[in-house]
Amino acid sequence: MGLSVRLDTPLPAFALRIDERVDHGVVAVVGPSGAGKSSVLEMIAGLRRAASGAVVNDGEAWLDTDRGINRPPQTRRVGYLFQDLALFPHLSALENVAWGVPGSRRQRRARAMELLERFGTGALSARRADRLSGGERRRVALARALGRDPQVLLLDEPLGGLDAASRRTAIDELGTAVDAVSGPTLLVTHDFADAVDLADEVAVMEQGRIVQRGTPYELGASPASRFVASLVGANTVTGHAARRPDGLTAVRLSSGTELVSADPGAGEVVASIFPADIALAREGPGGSALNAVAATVTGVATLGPRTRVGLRVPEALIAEITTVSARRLDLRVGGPVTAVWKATATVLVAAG
Amino acid sequence: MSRYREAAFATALVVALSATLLFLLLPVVAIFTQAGPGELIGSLARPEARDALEVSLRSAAIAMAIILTVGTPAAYLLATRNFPGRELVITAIELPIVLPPAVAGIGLLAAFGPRGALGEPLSSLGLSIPLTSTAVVLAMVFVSAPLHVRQAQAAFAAVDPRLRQASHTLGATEFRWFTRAALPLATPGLGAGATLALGRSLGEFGATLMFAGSLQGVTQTLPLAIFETFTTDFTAALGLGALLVAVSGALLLTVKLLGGGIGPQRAPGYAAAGVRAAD
Repeated sequence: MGLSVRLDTPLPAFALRIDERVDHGVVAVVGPSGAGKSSVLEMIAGLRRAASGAVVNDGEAWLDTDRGINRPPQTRRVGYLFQDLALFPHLSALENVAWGVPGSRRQRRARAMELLERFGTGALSARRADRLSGGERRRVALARALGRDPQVLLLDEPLGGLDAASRRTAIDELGTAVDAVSGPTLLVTHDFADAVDLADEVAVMEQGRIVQRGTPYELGASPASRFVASLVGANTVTGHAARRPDGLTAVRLSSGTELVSADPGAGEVVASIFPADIALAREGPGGSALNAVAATVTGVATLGPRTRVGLRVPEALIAEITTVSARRLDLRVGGPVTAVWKATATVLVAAG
Repeated sequence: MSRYREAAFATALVVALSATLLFLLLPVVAIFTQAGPGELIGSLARPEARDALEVSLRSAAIAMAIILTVGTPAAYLLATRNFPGRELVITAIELPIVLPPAVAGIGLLAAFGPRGALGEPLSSLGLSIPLTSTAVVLAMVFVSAPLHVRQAQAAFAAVDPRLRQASHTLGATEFRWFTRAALPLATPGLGAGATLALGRSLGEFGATLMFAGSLQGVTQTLPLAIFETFTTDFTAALGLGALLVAVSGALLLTVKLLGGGIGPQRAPGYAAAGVRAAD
């Protein structure tokens, strides 16, 4: 079981080099625009040529440049959800879904109807694809992707451009599609939040390479690079690390501000602190937290029960506190505040 | 100042369109005002007119069948595949558009004439093309096919390539994609190309005259009949002219209606311009 993907191929700006195995579940490839994410999906599906590499699903080689194997997309059993959905605009919802279903005309229509109903769009079967709403089009596209009973599901930015309300629905629908496929699902997104909502495992891609792979929790707890740390939403600041007599590590930022970390480290490092780990106080604490940094408030944004506070220490940090605390502190832009966090909340990452 | 310029520019646009319309319509309208209904009906009654109309319609129909069945797949190939020398092939196909009709006529004779490049093998098969109805069709195809191929190529290129990829990932063959999706999606553009080619075929004059001659009932098309009548009977020529305008206009309208070419049209390239992230 499982899909193994090894690719080594030049892209315009850099080389795509990955060697990954996906046995089951949902793996999200996360990275910035232009990192080569969509190219990976296209090469797995056979829509784009790989200079060198192998794609093997369940022991069946779809691509193996060493052995001269490069099967056309038609013989690779993938369900592909395109970013722009790519429905055939001149065909009805039913005809769109039936396009990928094998068998007689009667069987195809029956199976297509069944798939449309699974996504709650049975009533729209006769409507032309270009007359469907955005959400309806996504449901039809998902039904269509399952039409040929794929062994691997490939999703390209499946939550791209959705508002918060449709997002929840889309996540459920994508779950339905994932459950319908016997093999693994690979999705690409530029948004870590999408990956957290959809995937069991996240592979972070930067410049054509997977720089770290793990559960969302693992990536947050020990990011492999500054990029990963900022991707998962942590504050990142660079500084110079030195061991303190008490065994902890001191990180001196370029402004002179000093942070304390429980991680070992020396020389140039990136310190990563999650916004939610930072507490705010009016004055320096006498508590157990070893980091107590004088800061200036640069912005306050309240979203329901949580408030994000922009700080300057003078390096920029973001703290996330409860709205109740924010009201009690009476935060004002330009006003002084003390940012407080434990030494264990300062995660050190090798600089670079 | 700027408002004055804006108004002047808007006026200039309207004036330009009015002048264009006036100049292009004037000769057409003049045909009908000069030739009264009597002349029109009279011209239809003349046997050479009926013969010419039949030759024109039959030849154009055959020419269009050839252009559509061969030119359309050729245009699809040009629009969807990249191969070395593609630009050269495209230029070669477009060349007849800019050739003077006399050059087209002499070229066809040089290729298919008795002493032409293919004359020997053709005559050994007992075939002689010049001065036959086949020659009329060949002349029409030669001058009109490039118009259709060019338009069809643009129409196929405007079909979102993502849709073709989607079709492939769904297991569909290229043939199925072409017949069930690419063709219907390109239909407005194909209709426009066919219209241009049909208009050009019906109006073909110079190459036909040189290559096929002007034999009544065999190779004499409506334009040739107009030319021949015009030297002796201007009024009769007017009547034939009116007939050609009416037939061409009716065919143009029909093809446009069938191809969905009338009504809100998307500019070529619209579908291909769909914004997508580069990765």
